[in-house]
Amino acid sequence: MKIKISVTGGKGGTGKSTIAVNLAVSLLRYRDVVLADLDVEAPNDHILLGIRLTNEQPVKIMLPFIEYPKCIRCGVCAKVCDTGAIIITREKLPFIIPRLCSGCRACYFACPVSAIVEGQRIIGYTYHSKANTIHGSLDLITGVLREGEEHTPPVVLAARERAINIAKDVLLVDTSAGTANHVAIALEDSKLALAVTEPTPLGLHDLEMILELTERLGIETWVIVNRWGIEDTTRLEEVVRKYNSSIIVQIPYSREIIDSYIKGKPLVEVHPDHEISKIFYRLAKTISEVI
Amino acid sequence: MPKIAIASNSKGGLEDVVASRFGRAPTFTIIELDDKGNIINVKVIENPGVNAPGGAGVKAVQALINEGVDIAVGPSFGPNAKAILDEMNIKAITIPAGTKISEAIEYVKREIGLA
Amino acid sequence: MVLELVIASGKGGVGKSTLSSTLALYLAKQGYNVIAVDADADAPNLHLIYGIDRWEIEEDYREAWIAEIDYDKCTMCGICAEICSYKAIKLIDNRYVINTIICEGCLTCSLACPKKAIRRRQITSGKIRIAKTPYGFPLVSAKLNVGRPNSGKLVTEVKNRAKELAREDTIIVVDSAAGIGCQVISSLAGAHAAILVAEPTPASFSDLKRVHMVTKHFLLPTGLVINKYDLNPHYTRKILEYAKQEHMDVLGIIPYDDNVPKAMAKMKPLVELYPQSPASIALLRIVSKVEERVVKGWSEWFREYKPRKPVPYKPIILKPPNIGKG
Repeated sequence: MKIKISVTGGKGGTGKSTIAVNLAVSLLRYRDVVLADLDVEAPNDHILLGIRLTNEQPVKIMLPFIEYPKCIRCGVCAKVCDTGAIIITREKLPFIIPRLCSGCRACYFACPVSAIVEGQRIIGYTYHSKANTIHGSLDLITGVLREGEEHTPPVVLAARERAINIAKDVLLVDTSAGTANHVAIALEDSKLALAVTEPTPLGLHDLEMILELTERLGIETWVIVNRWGIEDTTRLEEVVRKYNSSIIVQIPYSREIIDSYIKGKPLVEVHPDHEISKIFYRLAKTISEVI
Repeated sequence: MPKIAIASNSKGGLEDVVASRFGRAPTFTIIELDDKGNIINVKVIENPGVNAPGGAGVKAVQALINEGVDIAVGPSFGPNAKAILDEMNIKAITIPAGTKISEAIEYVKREIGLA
Repeated sequence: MVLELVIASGKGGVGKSTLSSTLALYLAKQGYNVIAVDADADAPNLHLIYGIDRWEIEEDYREAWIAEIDYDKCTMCGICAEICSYKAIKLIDNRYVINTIICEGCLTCSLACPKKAIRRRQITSGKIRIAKTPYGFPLVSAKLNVGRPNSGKLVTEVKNRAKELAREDTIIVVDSAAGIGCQVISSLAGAHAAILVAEPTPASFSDLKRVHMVTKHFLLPTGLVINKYDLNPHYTRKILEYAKQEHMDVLGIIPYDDNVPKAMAKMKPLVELYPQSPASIALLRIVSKVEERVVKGWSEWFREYKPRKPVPYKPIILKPPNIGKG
């Protein structure tokens, strides 16, 4: 019975990836864990674990090719193209601009004479790496969007599916920041979401957005307050209550987290007796009991 | 007999100036020259890309293709517009924004050996 | 000419908004005509830094569609669920249901449906808002509704609104989103220059290289600012070496400063509230360099720092077998 838990949070830089990685390693003590880095535009989990990306598989989306002998020059394909990736030449023939194509296949279905053939375009890659941690081997699936590509969701989907296929017990997902639809795709079907925030007006503003998203997706959400201690948390507590959530953990600001971040190894490995490492272990235990 | 489209800053025409953007220029001034470089026709079209939410450069180029343009002039070209212009064999010439269109034509003529 | 400067980083939380808000404010105080653009439609926060709590203009952005199934016509063939690229259509309680949060509105399902049982519905995908900052210049901001896709289109719209307000000599300062996807690409499209912000960590360095690749695709002259440099001088040096190799203009480095989050909490720009703070002093030095080098000295700066070797984007294409020539 696979269980999916997502680590998310509207604001960038709140420490989502650091928490996801440390939590994954801590959870290994109790469960079998696969970590999926679905922040495909700026993936960092492999860096925090100090490992390389291996077992590359391309992520492909459909790219139309016109069978010009069959084309009747009706121009319907260009009309239905949502991203303007089909241009009509002087000879009234359609011409595809690969970079703008999102692979939706609308043109393929719209062509009245089936003159469009499916080719493919590689827009990113997924990787499967293993990290040797003090609690055992951690499988990491990473999605990476190719630089210059616009279309994030297919890479998130491919990495998500690859992770689901190898997960046997707990699948821990690290989403990107924000609340756009590729975050919703990363969050989908989670049993639990951990929303990471920091106690500042910016953090609060973005927390409300992520709580709104998880509420609409019907996912129970716990809030993790990172860098706690720098601000007053009354407004934060109000927002959390409004969404029927609760603050499950408060992580104080600490120099050691930053050091471990820079050293390229999770805090729970570098300083296992640190008070924050103990917070991660307690959190991992709680989660493993609840699910 | 080359047809030249120049991204124009406002209402277009020989008295207007080169726009600060190609893909989102309000209008294109389309000038037809004869083999000796004399202007035989001037036409102004609205740029369909001006308010487009995305892919403005592409829409602009489509409009120029529809007009049978051979040369496109702008202050710069975004990567999409440039790529398509190249594919469609439409020559892209950059001329600084604010240049009078009548001057821009002279520059283009020199570029293509018609002056 | 209108000068458009975009601040980007790849990694979130490294100080983009701090830099762009300071740059816009400084240039305005120096007498330039400035428009600030918050192009982080996912999680906009420039209005919070400037202390804006009311918008003068607030408009729905409605350029988006989602698909809707007409259950009277649906024969449960399931083709829509099969072909949806986003897996947004699922069989729930004996009905095919479209997840409206994930549906991207490509409408392929409606074209593929043999019974023409799927129609399109226009929706509001976000808002565009405009307000005057307490410092006299306008802020144009966007907010994407949660779960909506294609923030790139919304970002383009926001930049257009800013250009509508611009005069001949306006400087537009754009605070982009984190990442390198469509919202960042839309932020960079049409810009004159990019200023990238990084912090001295392996993660931020990795993301910096990725977003820099995108600015090279766009042939943008690029500057660099390193934030919280004293947290790791070793990595700061590594990033500075990279910048030198890549011929980026190093505009400055900013020390870690506790007053930064304090100023954000008080909803006031750091340089207004704590002008003598170490980060303020560094920031002011940086923005004054931007004024000298990038604004006043634009032509030379552009010539000096535009990418020497063009690195065009090249799609990786797999042709179908037996495709005819055309």
